[in-house]
Amino acid sequence: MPSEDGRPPLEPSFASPAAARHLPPVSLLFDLWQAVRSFLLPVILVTVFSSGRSYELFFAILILPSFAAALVRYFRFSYILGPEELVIRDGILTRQERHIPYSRIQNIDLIRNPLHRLLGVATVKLETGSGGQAEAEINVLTLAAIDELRSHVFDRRPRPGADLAIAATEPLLELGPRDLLMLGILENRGLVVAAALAGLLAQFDLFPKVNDENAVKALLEQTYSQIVDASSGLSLAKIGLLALSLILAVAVISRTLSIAWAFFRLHGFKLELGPHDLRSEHGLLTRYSTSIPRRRIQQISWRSSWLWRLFGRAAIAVESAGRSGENGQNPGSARLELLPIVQADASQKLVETILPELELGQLEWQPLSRRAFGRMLRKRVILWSLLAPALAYFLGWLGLAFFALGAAWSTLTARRFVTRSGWALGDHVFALRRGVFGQATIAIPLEKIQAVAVYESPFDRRAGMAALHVDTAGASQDDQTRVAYLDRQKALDLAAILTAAAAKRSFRW
Amino acid sequence: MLDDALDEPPSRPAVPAANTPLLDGQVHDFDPSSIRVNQLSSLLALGIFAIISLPILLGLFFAIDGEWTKILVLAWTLLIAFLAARALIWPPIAYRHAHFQLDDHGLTLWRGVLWRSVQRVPRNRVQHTDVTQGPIARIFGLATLTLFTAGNHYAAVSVPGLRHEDAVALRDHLLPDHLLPDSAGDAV
Repeated sequence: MPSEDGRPPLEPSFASPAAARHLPPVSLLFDLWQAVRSFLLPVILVTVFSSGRSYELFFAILILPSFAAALVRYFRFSYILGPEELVIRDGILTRQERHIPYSRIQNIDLIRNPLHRLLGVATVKLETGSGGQAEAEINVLTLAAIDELRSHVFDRRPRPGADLAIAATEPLLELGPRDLLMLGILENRGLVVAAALAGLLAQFDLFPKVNDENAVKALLEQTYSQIVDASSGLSLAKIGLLALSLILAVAVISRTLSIAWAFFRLHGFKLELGPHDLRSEHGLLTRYSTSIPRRRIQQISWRSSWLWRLFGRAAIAVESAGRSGENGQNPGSARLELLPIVQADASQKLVETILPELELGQLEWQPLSRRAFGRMLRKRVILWSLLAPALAYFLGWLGLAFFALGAAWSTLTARRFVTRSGWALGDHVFALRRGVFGQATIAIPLEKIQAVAVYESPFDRRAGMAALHVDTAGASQDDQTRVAYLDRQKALDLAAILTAAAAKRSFRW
Repeated sequence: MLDDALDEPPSRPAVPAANTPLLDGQVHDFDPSSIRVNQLSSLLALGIFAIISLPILLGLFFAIDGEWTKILVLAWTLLIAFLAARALIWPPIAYRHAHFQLDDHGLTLWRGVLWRSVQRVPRNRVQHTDVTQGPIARIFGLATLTLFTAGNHYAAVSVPGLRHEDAVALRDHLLPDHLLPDSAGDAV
């Protein structure tokens, strides 16, 4: 029986398996808001900026059908938490009944803007994979209803008793303002934000001159001539100083924007470890909650670039994937920044907490081929030697100094690469790492391995080396899970071992 | 935690007393007719290219005067000749370096002449399969078996140059495993 106000009945759901639930009344509010929203901004702009003609009334009339549709949708929508699947019934004219087996649901994501938060509800997005569209979007559910949904999906046993409280989760990480500040500095999304802002302003035509090519040209020429005039009296040093301060100003502005963006996006970041999934939430105005079942994690990696290492920070990311699409389409890949910024020393420990079954602490790292350094060095020395005559010819002694510096630098980077790269095979996991001044480590549970390949180029063959490539579901297209400069026989042996290990373990989405 | 860390492979008949000897866990070469198929397909593609590029060539021929026309014709002819030679010479060389092996763990493919690769697909990672025949392959009775996995780089591993009945036998051999439901009912 549907309950009065959308809150789930207090008796356990398995006692009344066919209990159809409805949305709370406030969801009507949100539905209406969505209908109105697409009209609202143009109406406002038109009213404010126009000469006061009365066609905003016309727009108002257009809203009415949307209102009616929202009302009908509200009454038509119901869902059932069955023993094995979620059944959603909706539709205005055409009745639609969708069955989503719990085992297919990969994510339950929540979005809460300030209004949601005020009213204690959330928009729910269920994802079953293939990336792209959410399988089902429920707008909106109360938090209690969401927890019940979660417990059905992830525990797959309806909970006896009124144990509808939030499932026991262990908080893993919270990001405070200092972390976000650091993230903003390290990430430098500033340029992206600036571009987005510029785009936004251009949308509203507040950059009229941008549309006019000639005006832009004239503006640039004017600026240029102004600069030339101003600088004709200055010495080279002062011009250099001005240029430098300009660059610094741009850097500061972009980093400031980046910091603001980090705050906006990740304020109040919290990651919690549930019995079967990881839940994170973040966001300043609009709050996003996502959850990933741990068994969907195909790869987990922790990385820091040289800049991140300087500040002692790392980022932890996971790749999770949904089901394969029809006809062997690639499953949607989601590379999720699970922990955008953590203390670098703590990163491995955190990964071990997330996936303890991998036993990462037991890993024994193996190096690349012993001849890897020699080979890398030879290649670089040859390249620099080819460059040397040109450098010497054009730059004289300076050119030779460049050559020496370049060769020394190449030697340093090659040495660091070889010492910091390697692989490790555990009982449950295959891991690889690489780095020159930064470090990236990727761990792949053996049961997530899809296919394995060994490659050798003609140069590899001459050197007796090969590269190993491990494929997982939804892996990104780059060469992340690839180990190069391995001894050829070792690579072939590893491939055979990994294939056998994968063949012994069934693959579950 | 992860429930099924180490499954025993589901009990199924051992590699069947094969209707085709290819399923015996040994390393095999592909069907020799595949050389012909590759040569013919390449030549056909080259022919189409030549026919399409001919009007362009003629157009340039009339547009440009003097020495350049001779050089242009020479360049074009050399290109066609080179590609034709490659189409004839390369497939036998590639054939010698191409092998496959089907065993209890899965399928292994050896490919490539200069850039060589060994690809391994565990049998229980095959999501589904395709057997297709291009027009030229059909004349020779060959087919391409494509294995689809959940991976990304190796989402579709294609094995051309098999006799049609062998491709079907391989497909059938790889198919039954994932029709077995695993305990979570996650099977395709």
